[in-house]
Amino acid sequence: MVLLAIKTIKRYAKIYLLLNKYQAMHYFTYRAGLYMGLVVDFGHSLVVIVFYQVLYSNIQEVAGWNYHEMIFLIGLNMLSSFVVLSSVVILNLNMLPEQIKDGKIDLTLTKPLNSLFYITLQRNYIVGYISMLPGFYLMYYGFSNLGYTLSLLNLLSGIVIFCSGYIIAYSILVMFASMSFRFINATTLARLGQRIILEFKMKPHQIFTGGLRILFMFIFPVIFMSSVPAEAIMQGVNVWYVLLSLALAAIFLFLTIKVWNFMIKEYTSAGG
Amino acid sequence: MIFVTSSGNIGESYCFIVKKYFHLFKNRMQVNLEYRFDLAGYFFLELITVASFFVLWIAVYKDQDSVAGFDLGAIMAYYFLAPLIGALVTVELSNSLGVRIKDGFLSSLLIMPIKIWLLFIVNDLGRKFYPALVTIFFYALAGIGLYFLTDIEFDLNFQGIIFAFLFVVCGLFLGYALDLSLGFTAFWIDDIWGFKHLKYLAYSLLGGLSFPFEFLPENMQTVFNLLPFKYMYYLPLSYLLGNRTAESALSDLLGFVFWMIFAAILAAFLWKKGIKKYGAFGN
Repeated sequence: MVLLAIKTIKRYAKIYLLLNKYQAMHYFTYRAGLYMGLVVDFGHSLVVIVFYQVLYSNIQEVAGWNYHEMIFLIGLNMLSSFVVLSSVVILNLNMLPEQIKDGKIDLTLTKPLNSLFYITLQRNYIVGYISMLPGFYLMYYGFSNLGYTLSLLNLLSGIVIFCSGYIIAYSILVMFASMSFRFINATTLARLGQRIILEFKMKPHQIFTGGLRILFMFIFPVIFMSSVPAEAIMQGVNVWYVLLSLALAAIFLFLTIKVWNFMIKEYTSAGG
Repeated sequence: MIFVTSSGNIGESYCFIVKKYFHLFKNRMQVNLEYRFDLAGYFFLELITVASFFVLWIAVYKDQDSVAGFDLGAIMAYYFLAPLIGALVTVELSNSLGVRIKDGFLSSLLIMPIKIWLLFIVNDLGRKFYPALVTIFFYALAGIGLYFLTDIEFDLNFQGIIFAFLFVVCGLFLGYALDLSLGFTAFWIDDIWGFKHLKYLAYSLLGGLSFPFEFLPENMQTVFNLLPFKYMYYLPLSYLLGNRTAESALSDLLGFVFWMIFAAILAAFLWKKGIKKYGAFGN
């Protein structure tokens, strides 16, 4: 049983690497697209940086987060945004409504592969991984001006929460996008999941109080993508958050598989 | 009706021209209406954006009463109304126009008895008609909700609304002229997909979508006020919220006329040069 699982994982990892090797070759062959992508991505990051720069030129802190803590959060947020957008959204989920409308999923369903894996993860937007590099610099710049000491435990707990946050974001995005099987050409549905994640994940989690805290901690737990891991790395580990993020990631992934399998039954091929 | 003029040229009556373009507008509108669930999605997208700004600014104003002269009510009104202005002024024809040029599909349009720039503008108006209606409906609902359920009051006046409408129309015209110029660059550039993003970035930073210009240092405000992007969000919002008065309207209108002429000449120049370079091949 274990051997079979390892063999399956190995097979999928090999397919994933091959698919992305071709994708990388494509991008480095047509470099104009690569450069345009970089300009656009840096521009998007610039908008966020300038917004908070302007905001902090008028105020001292937001929900207890000072300027340099916010810079660290913006850096980590850039990483999480580009990882999620590049691996799941741009070349996969964003294409799904049109593929369903045009009946292009047929070819995928005939392949001896898991449809969830192949449809949602088959292509990476390679440019995004280059675009996220300034995020590391922002994290370094913010952290080095704070006077905190970096501990391995804090870093590891931050990474664990970040990875759980990635799985949660993936699950939310896929659940929203899978509704395209039911509502044909509903391109905004896929964007709804994205919008919820991108708009709320970069805000300090302390700004969510009352009902909003429950909403963004349990129903759309986007705070585990940037704000909570940033706090864990800077100020120390909170075991409750680590355990909660792991549990939520498992629950959300399980739900996503169920929702996907249910929704894909709605697919009626070309002319749907 | 098609007729022959005294000089022997074949012409069209104005009525026929209007009918022709109105038909194209109606067709595009109907295409949008076919996928009604997508239209409903716009409502929720706007809701999420507005909610996210509200949450952030409520947190900011917990520690202070005023930021750059804006109190909480004023800043909430600014971000609340920004998507409404956006639904009316934003245009999206550079991408579709660019793809047509890049893939050679412009050829089929060139032989039609239509003005290509007008066709794309009419198409875009048709595309945005129902999403704009949905957004206006959402704002009407939200306005009623805010009036009856909360203490938040937006200080709107008739003069401000009239000027805001005037500058929305100006923004729309300028947006089309700039977008046409951007689309025509596809005669020389292959990767035109980024246009829409670059435009959004310009509107966000320089057009007042991310923050009102009052948040900037004075020298930056001067620079931002000289650029054409302020007609997209900042000016309509400023007039609507009473931050700008009738005295500044004339200079703003003169600025619009300058940028409009500049953008129209630029678009015409790019078209003239580009169409000579254009080639569509097949075998």
